[in-house]
Amino acid sequence: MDALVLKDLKVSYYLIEALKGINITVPEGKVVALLGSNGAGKTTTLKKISGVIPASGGSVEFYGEDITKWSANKIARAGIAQSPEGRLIFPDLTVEENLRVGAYTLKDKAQIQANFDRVYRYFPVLLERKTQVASTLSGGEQQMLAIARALMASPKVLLLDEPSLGLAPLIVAEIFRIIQEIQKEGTTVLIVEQNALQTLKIADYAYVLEVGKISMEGTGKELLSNPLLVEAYLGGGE
Amino acid sequence: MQTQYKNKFTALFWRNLPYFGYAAFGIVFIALVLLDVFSVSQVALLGGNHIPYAIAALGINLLLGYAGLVSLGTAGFMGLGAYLTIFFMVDLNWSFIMALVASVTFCVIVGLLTGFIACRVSGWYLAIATLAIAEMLRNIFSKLKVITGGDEGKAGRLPFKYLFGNEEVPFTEKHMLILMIIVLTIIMIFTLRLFKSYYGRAMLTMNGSEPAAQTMGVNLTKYRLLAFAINTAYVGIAGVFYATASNTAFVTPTKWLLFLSLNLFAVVIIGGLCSISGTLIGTFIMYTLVDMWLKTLWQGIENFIYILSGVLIIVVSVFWPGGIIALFIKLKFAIIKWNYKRKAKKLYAKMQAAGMNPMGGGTSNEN
Amino acid sequence: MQIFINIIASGLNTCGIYALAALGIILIYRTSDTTNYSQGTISTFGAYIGAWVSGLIVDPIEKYMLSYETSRAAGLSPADCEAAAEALGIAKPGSISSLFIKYTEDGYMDGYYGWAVAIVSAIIAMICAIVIGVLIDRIIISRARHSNPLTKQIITLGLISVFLGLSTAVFGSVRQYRFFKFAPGTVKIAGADVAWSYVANIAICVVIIAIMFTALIKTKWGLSVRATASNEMVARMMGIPTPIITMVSWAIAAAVGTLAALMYAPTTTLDTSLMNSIQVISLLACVLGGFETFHGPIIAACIIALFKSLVQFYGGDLIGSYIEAVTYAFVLVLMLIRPQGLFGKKIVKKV
Repeated sequence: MDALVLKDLKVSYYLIEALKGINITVPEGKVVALLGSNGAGKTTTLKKISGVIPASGGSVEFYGEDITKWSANKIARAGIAQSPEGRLIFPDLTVEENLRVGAYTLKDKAQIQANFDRVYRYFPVLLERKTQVASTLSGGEQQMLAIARALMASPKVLLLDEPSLGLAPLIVAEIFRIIQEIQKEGTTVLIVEQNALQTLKIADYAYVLEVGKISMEGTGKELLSNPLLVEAYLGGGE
Repeated sequence: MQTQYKNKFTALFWRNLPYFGYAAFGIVFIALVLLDVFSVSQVALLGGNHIPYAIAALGINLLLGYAGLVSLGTAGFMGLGAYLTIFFMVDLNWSFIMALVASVTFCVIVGLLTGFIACRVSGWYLAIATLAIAEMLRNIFSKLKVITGGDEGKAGRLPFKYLFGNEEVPFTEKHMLILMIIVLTIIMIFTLRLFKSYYGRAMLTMNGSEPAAQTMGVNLTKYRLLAFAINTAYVGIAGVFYATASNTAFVTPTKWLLFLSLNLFAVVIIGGLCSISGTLIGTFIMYTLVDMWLKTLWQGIENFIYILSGVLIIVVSVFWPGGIIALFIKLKFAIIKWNYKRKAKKLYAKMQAAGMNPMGGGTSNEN
Repeated sequence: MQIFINIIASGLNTCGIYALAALGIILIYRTSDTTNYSQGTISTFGAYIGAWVSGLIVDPIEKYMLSYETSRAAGLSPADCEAAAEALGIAKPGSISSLFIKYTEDGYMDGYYGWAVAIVSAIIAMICAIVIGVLIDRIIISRARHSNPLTKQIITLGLISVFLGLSTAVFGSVRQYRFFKFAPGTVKIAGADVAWSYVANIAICVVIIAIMFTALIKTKWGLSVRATASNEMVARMMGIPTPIITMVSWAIAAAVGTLAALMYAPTTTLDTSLMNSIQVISLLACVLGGFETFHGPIIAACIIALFKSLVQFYGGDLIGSYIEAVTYAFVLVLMLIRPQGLFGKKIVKKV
């Protein structure tokens, strides 16, 4: 079953068409990457999937159900969680409170506690800084917090918006390693990135978004060896 | 806009149409007054209330529409101008001109102080600071009996001498009204000039996006203070006129309550932000129409007007940010479009009759 | 010493009232990014409702008692007093009013329980305020959710006009409204006679604020409020129903505002400008305490209240008559010295 299917999705900001009809399929349990440069429409796509902005055409299907017109909280309760662009953690709440907000849609205390354990296992540094106010964390730690927060919801689909932005390479590698572990545990991941190299290495399938349209798609390996892509995103001859 | 006009003078006329319009409005208004079209009580209302309110509203329009700032101190500053004028003219026996200049200057100084404090925090803080100042002023109006006569208030009076000297000048309510119309027209023209000038455009960019304006080198604080100073000057002038409209003008602390500021707000928003004629139309509807006509129909209309003006502020802000003027503009464009279509259809028919292809370029070769 | 204790009590009483008013402003601001200038006017409307309910209950009793007392003084039995009143055509107090009637030991009607009337009318007023808050949020605020802050401010300004007009239109300025102390009399504290109402008001305010902050910190609802206040869009993404959070905030703000008005009204006359000065002070408290936290404005409100009480007492007559102006000037000067407020951090905007 396909976890997420975007059919001819169009999104407009007033008169500007940010997405001009894109088609993306995210099979269950896979890691799918959405690449593209700034302004291509990647964040818009994730925002629409999470229900924060409206679509002007096309549809979004979640396990076969049309969620295009659903409100953001309904979509969150259905099992889609996002780590937004720019991390966007709640700066005045503590690390633990941030995580607890992530688990808002869950009612079972045992499940919430299990998620806390799971998340602290992935990101031990968060356990250390459990009671610290989130704004005092470093960039890398905040990114981990954002991903952890999304995981607290026990999501079926995890949306990651530019998790590597502005982070040191070592931390980026760590985060990508953790993403693979998350996938192994059965979560479907849709990751949006500018950092094509790292992402393609772990992606099962990838799409390239250019100015609101899909210009290329293929498996991670295919795209890595595609000369056009290499030229555009990897600085040629990597 | 590159429109071709027949000659230089036509161009001059059309490009400056609004100014001529305001001047024409002023001239017609004055003519009406001279021709005794208005009764004595109507003259008292127009001069004593409506025209001062219109001037104050223009100040709010400038501040809100262009600088994007909310001031809740309008009533307070207007009262300050009124009280000071009476104090200077009646108690200190100064001439009208001296009292006018002194009152307005004092108002602007107080305004600049308030604005300075507000801008240190943030532009939007101006609303709270002006609210505090207005309440402070009301407190002072009520207690500083020496200058303001306390809760009993003080009587205003018509101006009685020019600059210096002691001769009594025979100023009547009608003279005052005509003077006010002249000043109103000058202010309208000046405000329009301001809107279209460098300062006006700078303020508009500030309104749109603060960080963007800053990167373009616009000194936010300077322009905010300038806008607020001009606003306070207008409002001060309005206060001066309120107190000198007639010998029966009376000034008490209860005339300067918050709802006056809010009513003037409504006038500006309903008429249309950034539109001078809109503000005039708004004043006409909210005050002239109500005072001179609706009140005779229904005595209890006062409260209803409060509720209605509040509802209108809300509804217009959310659904029709352009106000009444925007409706006029839409109508104008609708007419222009209709006219254009009509002309195009005529041309189409003519070309077909002459055997030409109206769609393609040039004449067809199928003859 | 006696006087000093009374000053403290009065000062704390004012603290409570200002704190409740500031709580209303900051709650709405942090959850819906709106500075609600109409908080004071809506609270006044609530106070009017309370006064009107009091009148509804008490007026029939007082009318009845007029003739009843004469009969009683003439030595008639309770039943005969009632019969005499009926014969004069004066209606007996209805079933609701009768609940509040006080009886003497021999069965005579002896007036009414003022404190009970006060409590009941306060509760009804607060319930009405909650309904009003919810309606305002549903009908107006939710439509303007995505407008810029300036438009939202203008909307609340419009609300002021609406409620000013409604207050006068519905309740008129003709009748004299009275408020009843729900805690009459005095109590001895450290040898001084302190008004019960001060103590009661302080206790209520402390309890309410304690409940609010405990809820904010410990409960799931409080967490969602703080998350919404922090970043509304992300909170929505996490499944928090932000429209409901906003609605509840408006309801609570209307209720605590009305409560503050009801505590303040008995000390002054009830007219449409009842809460004017308190509105200004609650806004100034939010500026002084900073709009970025919930606790800042509350603490700032207390500081302003204490300042006002002390200055009013020790300042003498001259300053006393200008106490409003002096208090506002005090805060404005503080803002001049420290523009970021007492607790604020410098605001850095992302360009």
